[in-house]
Amino acid sequence: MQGVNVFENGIGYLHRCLELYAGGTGFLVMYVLSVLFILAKGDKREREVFLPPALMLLITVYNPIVPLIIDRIFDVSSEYYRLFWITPVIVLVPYVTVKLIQTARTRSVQAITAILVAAMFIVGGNFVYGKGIDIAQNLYKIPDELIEISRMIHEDSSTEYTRAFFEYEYNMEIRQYDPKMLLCVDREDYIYAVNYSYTDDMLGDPEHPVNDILALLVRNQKVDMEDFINALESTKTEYVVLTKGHPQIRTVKNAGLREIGQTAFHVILKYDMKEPAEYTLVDYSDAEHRFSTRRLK
Amino acid sequence: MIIVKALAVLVINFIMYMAFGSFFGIRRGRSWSVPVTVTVGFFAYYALFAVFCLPIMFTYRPLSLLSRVWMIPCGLVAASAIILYRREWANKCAEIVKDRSTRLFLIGVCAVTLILIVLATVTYNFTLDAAYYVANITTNVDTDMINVYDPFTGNWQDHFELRYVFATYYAADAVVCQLTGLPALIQTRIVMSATVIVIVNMIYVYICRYFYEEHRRAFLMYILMTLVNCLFISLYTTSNFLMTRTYEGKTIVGNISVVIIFALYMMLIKEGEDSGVFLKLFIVCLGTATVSSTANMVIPAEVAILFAPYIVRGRFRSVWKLILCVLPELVMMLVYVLYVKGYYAIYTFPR
Repeated sequence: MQGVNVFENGIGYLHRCLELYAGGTGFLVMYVLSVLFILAKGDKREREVFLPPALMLLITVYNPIVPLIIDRIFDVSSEYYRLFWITPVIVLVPYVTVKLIQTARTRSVQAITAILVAAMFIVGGNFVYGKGIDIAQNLYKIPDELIEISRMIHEDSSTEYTRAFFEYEYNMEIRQYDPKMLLCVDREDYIYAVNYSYTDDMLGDPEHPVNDILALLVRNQKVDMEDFINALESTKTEYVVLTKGHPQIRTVKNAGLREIGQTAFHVILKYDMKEPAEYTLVDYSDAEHRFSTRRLK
Repeated sequence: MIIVKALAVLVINFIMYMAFGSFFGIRRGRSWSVPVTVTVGFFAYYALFAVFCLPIMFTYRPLSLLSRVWMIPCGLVAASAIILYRREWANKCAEIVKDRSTRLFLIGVCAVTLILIVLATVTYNFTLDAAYYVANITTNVDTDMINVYDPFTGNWQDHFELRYVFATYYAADAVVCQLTGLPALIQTRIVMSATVIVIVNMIYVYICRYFYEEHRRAFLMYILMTLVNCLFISLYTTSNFLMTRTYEGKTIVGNISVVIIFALYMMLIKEGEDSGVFLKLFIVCLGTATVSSTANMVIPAEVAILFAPYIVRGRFRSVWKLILCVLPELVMMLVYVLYVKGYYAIYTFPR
């Protein structure tokens, strides 16, 4: 869970985690009410199926001390919520609901109960398509424009593999469609750039030239143009794809990149490398086929 | 053409899962459940795939070799299952067709499942994790190697990323893509999404019929389960994963593994250990370990939470069965922790 960790929240971690997990829905509360219903009205088998797991969950997963203990061994801050998946909400809540409806004596009371329960579900839930359905533009379920950009770059490039910079969403999607498109920025670096600024020490760091590209194109920080060009050169990045309204288009054009094409919402810019960037796959034809591991500590 | 191919792969998937599952789910002379058999078969398929995939991957052999080799066990298992279980399959089909009382119930379930498949396959959902999972498949197919190149950038990796490398479920998708020519995006977002939704709904049917033999009540419970899935939405719930990130390994853990383990626990209470629950549980746990590393934490916890009270109630002799069931996850957890703590690395080139 982003932004919630055991170290900072201590005993309150579980509560914070549950708030985020429930996301404003009432289904965990409905689960607790269902357990109480089974406790009060359930027959032998129902109690045997639902009560021991509920009790075990209460003393383990939903015990605020447990994440503190586990965190001493593994860092569970970002993944503890997955233990909530064990709670059989999806089984117990509908089961008890059907029981409630069937206990009503007449059809009209059954209908009223069903309507009330459906209303409780809807009011207490977040509908998955509550913000509308976003229909995919094609079978690949990526934007048509990304496919067009991929085609334009490969038509322009003289090599089989080529390296490019894309903005956030396209950077995450392009290699799902086009494995010949190499990227200069990986996912974690991009996420860092979205959240944090770059210090002067980080800019111009020869170990991480990609910092200059991200500082300029993601954070719109002031970057020395020579460092930016050196970063493109050392990461062998030939293409930069930016949205049409991107504030740095003029800057990168002034730095020497030229426009090779446009789509409806994007501009494709090319940097002419000093030496043509050739990328070849590692040759395994003569490699010994043996397991190779090393003890590091 | 792509759609026809995708449909063919979907059908073949279920034939394979049924074939694999029959060895664990069908016992002559006893009634057996199609949903449980198919689900156990799903995990048996991926567990066996890992047995073939890991040695090929760790000795730097190409994906195309794995694709060729993998067809042999698939062919053998399918042929043996047809020879051994064709009568049971035919009898089950006849039983379903003859039973007029279930017809409306099944039509209703199929209609709802179809709607869910259409929704999952036509909607656009951006997820960060797909940048690894789907790109991993395209990269493997393109380079004809297994997990040697970084899916995010395409760069060669010095050593295998052990957080993902034992989740060979994605390598299985790469094999299908290589054999059929299906693009990775179609294989994951359409074929595997539909596969996951069908299996999830089959398990729901099993659970509803467990509680209610009367079809109307069973169908009402099934509809409510679907409704809860559509409404229990936050970034973190299994329902959200099912509806928006259907093909991911985590979704399978949260929506198939966790629910089938609960169903097996219910089966244990109703039918006892003679129903072969622990063998099925072992296959589910073993297969889940090869689907996503999330299993390493969630599955041992769930097995302990559900089955420990059963053991405590005087069945201490079964403790070793439970330990054996979660052993794959515990081993994987140890392997990963040692890697993260920097004790070892597995290289992508012999040194």
